[in-house]
Amino acid sequence: MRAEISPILQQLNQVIIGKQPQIELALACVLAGGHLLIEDLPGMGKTTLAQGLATTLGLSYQRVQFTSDMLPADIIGVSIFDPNAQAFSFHPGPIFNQVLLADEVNRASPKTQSALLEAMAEQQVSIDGETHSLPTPFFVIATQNPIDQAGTFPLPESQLDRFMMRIELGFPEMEAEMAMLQGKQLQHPEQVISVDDLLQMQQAVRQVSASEAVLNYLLRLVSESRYNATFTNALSPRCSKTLLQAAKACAWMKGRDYLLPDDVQQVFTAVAEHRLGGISDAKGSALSQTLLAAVDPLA
Amino acid sequence: MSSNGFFQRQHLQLIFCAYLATMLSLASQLTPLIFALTLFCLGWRLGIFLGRLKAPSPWLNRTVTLVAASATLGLVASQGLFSVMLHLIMLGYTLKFLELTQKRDINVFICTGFILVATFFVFHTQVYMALWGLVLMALHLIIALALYGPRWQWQQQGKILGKLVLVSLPLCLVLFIVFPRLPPVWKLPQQKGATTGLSDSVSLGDIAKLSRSSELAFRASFEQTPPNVNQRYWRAMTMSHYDGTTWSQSLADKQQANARSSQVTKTGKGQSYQVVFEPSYQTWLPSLTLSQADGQGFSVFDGSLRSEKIIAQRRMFDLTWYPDASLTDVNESQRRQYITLPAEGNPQARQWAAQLKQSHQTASAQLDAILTTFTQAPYRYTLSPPQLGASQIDDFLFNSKAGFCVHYASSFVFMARSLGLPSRMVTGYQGGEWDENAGFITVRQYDAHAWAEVWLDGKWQRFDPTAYVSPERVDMGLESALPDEFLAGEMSLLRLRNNAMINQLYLAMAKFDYAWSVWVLNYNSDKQLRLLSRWFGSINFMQQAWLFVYLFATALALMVLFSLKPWQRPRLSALDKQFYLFEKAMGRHDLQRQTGETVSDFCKRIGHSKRHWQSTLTDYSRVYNRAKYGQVSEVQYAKEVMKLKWLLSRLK
Repeated sequence: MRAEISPILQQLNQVIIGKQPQIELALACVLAGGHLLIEDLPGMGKTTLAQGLATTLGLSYQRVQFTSDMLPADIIGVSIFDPNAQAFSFHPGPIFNQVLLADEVNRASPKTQSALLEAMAEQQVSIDGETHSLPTPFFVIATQNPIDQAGTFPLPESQLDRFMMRIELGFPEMEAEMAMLQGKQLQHPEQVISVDDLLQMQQAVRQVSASEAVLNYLLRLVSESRYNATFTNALSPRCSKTLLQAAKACAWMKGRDYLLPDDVQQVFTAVAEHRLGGISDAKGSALSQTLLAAVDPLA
Repeated sequence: MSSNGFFQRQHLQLIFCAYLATMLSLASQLTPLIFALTLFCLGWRLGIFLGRLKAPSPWLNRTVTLVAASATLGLVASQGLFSVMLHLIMLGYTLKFLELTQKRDINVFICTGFILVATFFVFHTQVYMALWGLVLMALHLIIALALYGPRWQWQQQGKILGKLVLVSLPLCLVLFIVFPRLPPVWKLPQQKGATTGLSDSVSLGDIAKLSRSSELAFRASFEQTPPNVNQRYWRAMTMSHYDGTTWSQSLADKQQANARSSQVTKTGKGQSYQVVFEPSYQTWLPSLTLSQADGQGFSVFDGSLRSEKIIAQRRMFDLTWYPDASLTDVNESQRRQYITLPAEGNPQARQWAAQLKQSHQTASAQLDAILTTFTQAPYRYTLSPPQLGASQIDDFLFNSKAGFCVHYASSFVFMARSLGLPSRMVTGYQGGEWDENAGFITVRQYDAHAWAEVWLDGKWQRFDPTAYVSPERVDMGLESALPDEFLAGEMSLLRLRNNAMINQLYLAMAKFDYAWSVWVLNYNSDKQLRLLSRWFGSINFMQQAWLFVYLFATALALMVLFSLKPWQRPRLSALDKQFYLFEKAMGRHDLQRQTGETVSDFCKRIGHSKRHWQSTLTDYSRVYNRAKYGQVSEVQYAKEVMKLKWLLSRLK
């Protein structure tokens, strides 16, 4: 692991104990400049991880609890008539932060969910014909409950596609839970790196080289999803781009300046599963795993 | 029908087509009885197809098979062995057609179909028939394809079929051209066939029937210029016995007709030519006077040529024509035969002969007088002469005065014999159509002709009285001589030849058909050896066998190359080659890389089972990954490959 990021990982591993792979993926997602969706049952530590990530990286953040009666203005902000100035003044919403923590994003109505679309894709919002840029870096870290839970609106595919990764935390190991109960958990994480450090890291990630062989592998993965009838939802070109960025971040974190098929494989489930529709195949294994097993990295 | 994962309905349509096409193609060789069975089977099959009938029970099928087979065997005496064999196969084909329920049945059906197509080639040797045979083959092949690739579309199947046929063509050619023509291990039983053509006896009126047929008799090609039309007398046989109505060969002649004779004295320069005979189911070979045959033909006592075997298929003979040669030998018993006439009959003709004897001194003058009479008196050349009475010659010579070649030749020989001159009837063909462009003469059945030969001045001389009555017949052929009667009432495509374009087309096709006969049908071991020695110098049998092996192997290799296309395979880099060796080495330990497994994962997995290799394997995957995916210079790359080689050597 690269020296610059080991303190980050160290701290995050204390915030959530025993979830190293998920933490690495989440960090890779941030380093690749993508938005992160954390999906799991209530009480699994989704929000804790999101908060920990934002604090550790020294980013300004605000948490918004999504509910079914929320309106877009509650996120984006609203123009209010100021009687003193005799003019409308814009009151920015919680989205004007480096990290927007959208808690239980799928409890909001599709209208509100869609308010996030422009912000996530363009890093800007338009209100009353006026465009406001969002701060840099800008991340949406959203958590959601599995769609079979009561009172949820499933995220539309277009929204899902804008999240670079979707990760699941899963139940902790018994030792990890024991450590948590013994209070070994870090309650108040501190800032470890500055925003400038983060921007430099993101720059370095973009410098990672991808050889033709590995790009070829990536494309074969994507095209398999398009021509194999097992997969109902094909992977989009945006997905292949995202996949490359995420894999690069993964390679960089391991201290390499070139990409391996292993990196692609490592991030593949997190990047592709929610785009593939996420319903497991006949044998019960995840679609992304079926896809990985079908394509030879060396062919 | 539902048992055993049945084939689809579209296959059944194909099978219907293939069955009907094959059956009808061989129809001319089959007894009508088998068609009854065919209709029955077709009807039943259609019933099954439409869901109205059940498939026949196995015992019914077996009973019908046994009954029909024994009935067929009963035909041996009347039809000949070959025909019976054909009928048996056809029977199997028909009954299998009814019985089709499983893929296995269809396989049997297809194979039987192929055998039937092969027998089709025994009966039909023309080019267009060969093409039709190919269509039949393709039909059966399509069934096979449809059976094993049921998900393919029609176009796809057509494409695959075409590809398969194209790929097998070079092999076919090599087999055909080079494969040593071994003498047959077994022989086809001689099949019987009826065809139009000359027969071994002739009575007045016989040739007229032939004159209505435009069927091909034979074709001849010459190396030099061909003889003039009036020289083209294709002699088939001579007849010496006359019973008052019919000319035939005497018993003595018939006995001699199978014996070789070397009577022809080769005088003057010979001119070689080749004749391709259509099947006549006879042994005589109509040939120019006088010719000699090499190989499979031989000359008999009267100078005509015979084939050793009955001509049941289109066959080619190499002949040599000696225009200046003449037949001189005739022994005493023959001479007696050649002047014999029935004891009585035709008194008027005999009387005329007596008169001629008195008025003219020499034999040739007497004969000239007869011919002059033919020219001057109102004799008429026609293919439909009036009926003749009991004394045929008298009635013709002095009463009707209308007839064609047989009438004139027969009367002439009668007169000559009455004059005491040894003479005989000759039948054969006269004329033929010379195609300058293609270089061969086409002789058809309507060119059949009869003329006379008289022993005069110590040799046999040809007299053609028809030439005096109708010179056009001899100089320009029947069509010019009798434009109104030519092929009257017959349906013949030849009449369309007045159209210039159709004529062109006809000539081109005829040329191709002739080349087909010469180069394909009659491509025998002699021809093969000649062709091969032209290409490869003199060659003996063993060399030929080796040549065949080489060429066959080459064709096979080419086929393999073209189907595998190794030049389209991406070339392996040094690194990939190294890794290939690595995979092979691991394969020896029963360790295979899974499809989706990266090199690092593979190495890690091996490391779990082979702990002593772990560190080497880690190095291996690291070096491999760096060389393959990292940005390395060429020198670096070469070094990494060397390193991999070394690491691999440590893994053994």
